[in-house]
Amino acid sequence: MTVNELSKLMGCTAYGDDEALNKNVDSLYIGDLLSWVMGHAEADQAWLTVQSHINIIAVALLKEVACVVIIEDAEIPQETLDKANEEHLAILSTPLTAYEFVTKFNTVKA
Amino acid sequence: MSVIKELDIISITDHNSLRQYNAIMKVAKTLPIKVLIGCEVQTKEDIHVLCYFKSYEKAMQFQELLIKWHPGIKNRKDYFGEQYVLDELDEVIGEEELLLLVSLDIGINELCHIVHEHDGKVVLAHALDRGNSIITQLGFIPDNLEYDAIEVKNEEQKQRILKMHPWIKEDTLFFYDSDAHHLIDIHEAEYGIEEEVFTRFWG
Repeated sequence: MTVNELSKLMGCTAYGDDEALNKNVDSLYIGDLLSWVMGHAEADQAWLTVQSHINIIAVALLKEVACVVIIEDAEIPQETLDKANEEHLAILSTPLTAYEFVTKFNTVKA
Repeated sequence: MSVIKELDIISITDHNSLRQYNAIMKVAKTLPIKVLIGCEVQTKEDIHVLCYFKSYEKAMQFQELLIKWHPGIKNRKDYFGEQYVLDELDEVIGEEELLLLVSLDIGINELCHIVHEHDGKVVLAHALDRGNSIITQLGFIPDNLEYDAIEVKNEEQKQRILKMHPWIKEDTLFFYDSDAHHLIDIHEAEYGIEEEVFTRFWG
């Protein structure tokens, strides 16, 4: 599915242009420790995290993830959104916890 | 212990608190040693950041912010131990009820800005350590972060950081601190810095 489809399916608020929202999502990845995510996330994953520091954009680009999903309504600094926009990376925001998100995803994707 | 070891300058950086400084400054005045007012703040991203202040008044204003940013979680003495406030004679004069080892509700970028507004300096604490360092939490040191120096354990760590970060300038200040949590861990006076370097940091 695309990032846009994921966002609609999960009821997220999406930030991103067409290029960002049309990227392909293969699977999900969860992690907040960026040094760890840099070593373990994979391309085309939707990455779930509470971490919204601007460095997430660099990590997301480095790992070529499909998008970043900021969970639990964690506050997203404007500079993070601006940088994501500049790099054509979608940011999705959801009130769900990572557990709730994955559970719902597995229920509704079929 | 620091005076016995003939150190010139020290700082005692409690976690998320400057409340000991009333006593510390009284003791420091009686001893041949310079003490920088400082604390170790744990940011929203779980990063440890050393914040130093030139004036006691500004530091106490910053202390108010430390309380404001605290999530309100109380200490559990049976698990975490006592958090006493002591006077200059080591007598207990109070107790911190808030649990000090938590993350405060302040992001690192904003923290740097606010410390500078309080005429203070920002040092990235134990930058290459495996826990609560900027590199574990954020993956790397962002190039636009307004810090004043980086704390490492030794020259080898400094070289590793420079190699990882082509955007960090050669003249960036690195401090070799002991990060001592017990008396026995305090360094001998082996990692000196030139007065000129200190002046560049402290102004």
